[in-house]
Amino acid sequence: MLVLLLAAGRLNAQADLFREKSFKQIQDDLSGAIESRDPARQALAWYTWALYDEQKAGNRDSVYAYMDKSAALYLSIGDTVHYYRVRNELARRMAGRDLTDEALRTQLQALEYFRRKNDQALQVQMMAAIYRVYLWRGDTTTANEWRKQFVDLNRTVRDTALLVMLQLEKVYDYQNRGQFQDAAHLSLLTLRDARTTGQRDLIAEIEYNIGAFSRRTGKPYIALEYLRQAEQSVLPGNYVLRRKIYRDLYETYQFLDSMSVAADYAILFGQLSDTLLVRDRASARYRTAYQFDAGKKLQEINTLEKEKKDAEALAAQQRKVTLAVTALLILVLFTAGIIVLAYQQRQKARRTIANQKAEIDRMQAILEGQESERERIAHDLHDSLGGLLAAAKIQLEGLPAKQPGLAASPDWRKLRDLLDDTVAEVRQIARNLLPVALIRFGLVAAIQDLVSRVRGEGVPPITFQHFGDFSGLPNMKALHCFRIVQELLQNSLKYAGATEILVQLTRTDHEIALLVEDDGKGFDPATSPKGMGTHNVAQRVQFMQGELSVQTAPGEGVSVHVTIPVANS
Amino acid sequence: MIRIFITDDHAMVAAGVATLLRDEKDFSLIGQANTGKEAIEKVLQERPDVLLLDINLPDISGLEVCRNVHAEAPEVKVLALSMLNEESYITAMIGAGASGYLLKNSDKDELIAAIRALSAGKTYFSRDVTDIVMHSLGRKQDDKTATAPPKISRRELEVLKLIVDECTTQEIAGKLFLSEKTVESHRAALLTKLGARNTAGLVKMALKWELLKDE
Repeated sequence: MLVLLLAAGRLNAQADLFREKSFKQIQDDLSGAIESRDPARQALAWYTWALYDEQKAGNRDSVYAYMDKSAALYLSIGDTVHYYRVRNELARRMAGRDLTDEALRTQLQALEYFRRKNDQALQVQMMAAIYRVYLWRGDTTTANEWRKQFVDLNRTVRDTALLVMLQLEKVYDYQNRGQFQDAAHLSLLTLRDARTTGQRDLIAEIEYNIGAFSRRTGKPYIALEYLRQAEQSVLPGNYVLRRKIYRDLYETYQFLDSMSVAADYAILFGQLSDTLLVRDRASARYRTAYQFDAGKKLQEINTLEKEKKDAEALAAQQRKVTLAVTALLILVLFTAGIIVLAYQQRQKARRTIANQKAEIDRMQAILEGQESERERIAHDLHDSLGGLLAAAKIQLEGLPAKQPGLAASPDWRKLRDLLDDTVAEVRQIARNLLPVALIRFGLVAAIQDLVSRVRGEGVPPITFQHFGDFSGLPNMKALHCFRIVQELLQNSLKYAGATEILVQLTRTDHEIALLVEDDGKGFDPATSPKGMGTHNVAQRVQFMQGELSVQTAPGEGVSVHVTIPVANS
Repeated sequence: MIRIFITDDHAMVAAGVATLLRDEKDFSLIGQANTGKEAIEKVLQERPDVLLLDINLPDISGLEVCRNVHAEAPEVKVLALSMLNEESYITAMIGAGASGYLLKNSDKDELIAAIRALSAGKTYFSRDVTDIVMHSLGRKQDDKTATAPPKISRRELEVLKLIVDECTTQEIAGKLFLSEKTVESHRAALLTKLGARNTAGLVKMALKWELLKDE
């Protein structure tokens, strides 16, 4: 990574300058320069083109060709300073790709040239560059000789970038010894100096180091801050460092449980890894081409390939954008659809619940209204009409005493019988309207009355049995239970043709069970329409949130079992 | 002389009854009341031989009047005279100490006969009332002796058989096409009816009453 550190200051500034330019502008610059036939302008344009290519497209191999072209142009007009600088840039890049012989040859030429020019600043940079190439080769002895030379010379030159680089060496020394805390600390001290150089790759590398070391020493939030800074500082073309930054960001976010952000960085990291693999393959091809010096042909091919690639990249990008927009649109529509559906379903469910509740409320109102109306009419029949009829009957009974012979008259007898029937009828109507015993004596007594009343000739024997304590039932609930038994019993009497009927009430801690069972005809539950009686029973059971179970088959009688939940008494 | 007191909230009825009884030379109508409280007060004061008592009264029930009078003055015989022919009311009145029960549409002769019977220390019930009372008494007799098992419904019997076969509630529900809740309800009813506390008790009672024998 040290290899990438150094760059000639002015060219680096140029590199930053065109970072703001678009591809079109740089293309225009280049074509303008070529048209102008001004070699200096052309040289700069090609150099700019090379750096642009390196940073935007990341295609380092074509960079060599363009830089080579630029250097040749500078040489042709005798601008040796720029010639060697471009050569140096080229050498630096080649050293990174194991083309160290080529790099060293160029750098040594350049160093010799800068010595002749007595440019100490550039000499120091060149010596440092040579040092790094030897280091890269693994020749530490030669590397240290060069290091000694440039460190000595730098005491007079004081190139900040070099100082920072020397500090960084210490940092990596700490790292190798596992002293991450010291490494982080020294990086932090170096950062300010690095920032004064304005070299973004250098700054990014130090910021990354601080972040990475902080992460390893258990300071994830500090790590996050510096890693994010490094992400901002790093040049787009510096894949190696970017990849590292993404990996550390991914791991830090993962450590902090921010899984979605971590995933984003994991994807970036993965994409970059792929890119690097592709680049490596491409570079192997270019290296071969370069070594055999395919020369200008290669450049032409490169230019053609580049144009083609750019067009393809543009098309691919457009396709990607279109695809992304389409996918996004589909996703949005899909999500919207789901939301709308969910909303509609919720609304529907809400409406259904509301309807059911309204239905139950309505039912309750109807049932209660019905029952209270019945109660009123029953009382009126019993008390007023009943009393008057009784009085009439008694008056009629008293008449023969005043008019002897009347008792023998058929008219009087007819009238008396008619009055008897009327009284009986009124009593029957009143009783059907309201089981008078229910409120006074409770459910069991009311059903006992019911059973006693229907008992008679042509009626099958009815067994009524009850288990448990039914006192303390709310009146409405008792009334509903009574009506249920009444209707079920009537059904058995009317339709079943039974020889035996069982009516049973059971009260347990939490429920009342009503059972009406006959041994009559039964019916096929699949085909038989629900009678009015059963419907009313079902309504009452539903209203009390109970359960209704009808067991029957043709010839096997009917057994109706109802359970109704009640609070513990 | 039979001293008679009438309690009825309908003045017409009271007047009618008075007319009916007027011809009987040994009957003496000593007073009447339209409410329950008035009746208790006057009856305890006058101590008639027979009290004709309606059940539906505007303030307190005829049942309470009867209970009070019977406790305070047991020599006063109460003849219930009511529109109600419900077994529950009849048995309740008898339980409160009434010696007779007539429906209000009874004939003049029946009314007179009832009053005479009561004053002689007997009881009197009109014929349909007698039927109801007989049924009720018969049933109470059954309850005490308990020589027969309580009636088990068909469905309970099916459940019981499966319980004896060691089926779980879930299995029973599956076999009988019932909900587990309904099966549990049947089981609870069986426990209550047979006086058992658990499944073992159920099996024991089923054997005792020979409930599982094939018919």
